[in-house]
Amino acid sequence: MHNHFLRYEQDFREWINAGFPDISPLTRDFITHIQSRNEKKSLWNHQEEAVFRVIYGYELLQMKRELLNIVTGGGKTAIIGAIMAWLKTCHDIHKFLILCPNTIVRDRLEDDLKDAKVFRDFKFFPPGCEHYTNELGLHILEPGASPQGILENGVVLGNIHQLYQSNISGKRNLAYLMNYVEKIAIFNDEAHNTPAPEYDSVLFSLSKKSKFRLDTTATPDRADGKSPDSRMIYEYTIEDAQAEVPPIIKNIVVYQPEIGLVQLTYTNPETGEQRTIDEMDEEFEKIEKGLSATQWVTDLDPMRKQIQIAKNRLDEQIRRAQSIGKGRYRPLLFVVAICIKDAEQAWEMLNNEFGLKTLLVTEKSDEMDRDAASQLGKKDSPYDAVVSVLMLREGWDVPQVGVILLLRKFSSPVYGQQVIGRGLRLNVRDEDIQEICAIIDHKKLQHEWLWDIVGAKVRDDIGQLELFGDEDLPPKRKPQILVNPDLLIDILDVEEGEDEGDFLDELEGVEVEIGDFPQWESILDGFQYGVGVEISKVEIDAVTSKHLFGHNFIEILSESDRSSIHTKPKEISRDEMEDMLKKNIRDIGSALLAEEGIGSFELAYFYGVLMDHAKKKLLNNSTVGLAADENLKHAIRHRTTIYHNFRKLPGLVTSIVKYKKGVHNAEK
Amino acid sequence: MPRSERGDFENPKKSAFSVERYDSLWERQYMEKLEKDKTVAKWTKHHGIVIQYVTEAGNVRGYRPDFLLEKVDGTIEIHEVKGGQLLKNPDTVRKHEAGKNWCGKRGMNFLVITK
Repeated sequence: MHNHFLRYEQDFREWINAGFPDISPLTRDFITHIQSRNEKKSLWNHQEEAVFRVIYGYELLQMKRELLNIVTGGGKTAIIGAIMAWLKTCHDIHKFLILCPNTIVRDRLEDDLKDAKVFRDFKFFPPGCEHYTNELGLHILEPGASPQGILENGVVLGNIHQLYQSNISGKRNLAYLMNYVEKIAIFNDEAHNTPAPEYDSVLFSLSKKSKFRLDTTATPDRADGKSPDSRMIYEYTIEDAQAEVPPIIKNIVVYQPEIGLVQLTYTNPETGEQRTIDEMDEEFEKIEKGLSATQWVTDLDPMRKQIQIAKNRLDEQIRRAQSIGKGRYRPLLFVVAICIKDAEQAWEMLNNEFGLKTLLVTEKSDEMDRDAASQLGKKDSPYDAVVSVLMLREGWDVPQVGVILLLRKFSSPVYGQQVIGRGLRLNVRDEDIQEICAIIDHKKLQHEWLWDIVGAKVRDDIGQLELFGDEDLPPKRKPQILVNPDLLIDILDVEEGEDEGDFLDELEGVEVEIGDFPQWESILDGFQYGVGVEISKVEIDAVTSKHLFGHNFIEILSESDRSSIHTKPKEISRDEMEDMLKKNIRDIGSALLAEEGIGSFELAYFYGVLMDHAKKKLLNNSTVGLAADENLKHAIRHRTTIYHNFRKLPGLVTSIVKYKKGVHNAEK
Repeated sequence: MPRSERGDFENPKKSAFSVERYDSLWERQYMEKLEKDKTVAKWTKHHGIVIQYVTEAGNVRGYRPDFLLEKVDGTIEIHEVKGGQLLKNPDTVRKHEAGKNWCGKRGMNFLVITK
């Protein structure tokens, strides 16, 4: 997809300069009202720009489906609110449906829309139309909510799954919208990241009622690689936001450890034999293949070092908060794990070894912990850090997040950017102040592509005990403004859907079929799991200097690891091991389903499929209860490989759910 | 590599924007070259184009090509500046194939520029 608006850029500028000709008088009044900056809360420049583009696209270019690509932290809800007010005042549309991908995003939108808050704060309605605010009550589509609310309120907000036809309430909700509502405008907030087969069919049904649809997102590419069917009319990137004076979001600085000599302890699951090798050994390359990238940050010793680096960054951020925020906010460390085992390990280490009061939030967390999560970053919250498994993605916006520690590898741009987005909101907005978000990463996770996308500064020479001043602050960027519209380059439009054609052709080239695998069982049987390898020790602060001899760099190793704290891996009982494997597999199941936009009602079945798979491929055909200890450990070590195997083929998880095979003996 | 080479190329004469952002010194040099090249009428890195491709591992990614430019004869081209050692990387090859395909559909040329 590309910015469809570029060719209109010049006309659009002239339109603004000429005082908004050729639109309805009502809309012109609305624009005048939005621009008048008296006492009410005003839109930021880029928000106003977005609103003007939407109006221009709709009224002058007859675009009925538009997309705004706006960086996280760029205030999308205010834009949505302004557009609703405009459609209501000028286009006689009085019913608004806002779709989102999950409950966390929904909760955030609810905060802004409850009691018409966004309309009151910004006073979007022009004089004489203020009473419209009272017609914008909020109904939330959720289990147990009566569909009557859809008729009684102006704004209907819900997770897209609440309209899916595979469940009764979804059928009923959609039927109410189709039968009793005359005209509707749809707002799709990040919902396109839900690439479920049902998603398109819901939007298609609604298109008969929909007069206008606005997609808002920070990541316009869908997780399944298809582009949304709307037209991108505005791109407001991280760099644009960083170039604003005062800035709109933080700068990102990535810290990667300097890696010296790596030693691996290799365990043969059949014989139980252990060997320690290092990178100088011939075997190293072969063994490294049996290692998942995540182990470079999640095995015990490397994790401790990553946490140490993160803690140092947190200390720096606390010091900066004292000087720029005068102690008004308290920086928070956000740890992102992929499964419960890693999350618990990190949680324990942070609390016990590093003395950081840490909250653990997973899908299974109870109400109390979730409440605590929503209080994070407040001055009276007792927590220094939060560890999360897949939760707290979009929608969880805590400006105090100043450090993000990645204990997982991102393969999709969508999730990677969303997680990073958690740390972008500013605490202090001032012309001279530049805040940063520190991200702790590892070279072996191969995230270069992500740092390119988000425009991060990368430091790959971080010693374990180093502390920094303010030298990390990236130089201020200059704003990128359109100054010579006649120098814009126009790209030919291709027919709708042709891009998708490109994409399918290309998939054929790698012999994967997108979307549909009726014979998924044989694909699962082909998954490979290498021998179990565990990293027992990594040295990261051993390199003091690099000397150039001829054409080769030779690393001079200094004294070995200086880290003083060392706890042995906790011995865990057989029961704990069984429990851990089951929990991990359940987490992986939830994650895979969530990524494909499939509701958790399929979890029991899908868990059965995963368990069957683990039994066949990792547990030597035994059930969890009967498997040998070594096999159990082997399976636990391969938890992230299981996850990555299942998400390798786009559409595989959906197919597994679509073509149910037999009844699996799920161990609950 | 620390990304200390990023920067802003200010007041380009052939771009529609007040600055063009580069990610490496080599990109900056290429910007200077485009400014001087008499066959080039317009260029930008700020084009918003994302091209879908499939990686060796089967993951779907979008990639942003480097330069969009228009020649004085009206030809529109995408120029991808790449280090020679990266050219054999299977994912780079896939990106470039997707780029050629994308450009082909739009009557544009796709060029890989090596140092």
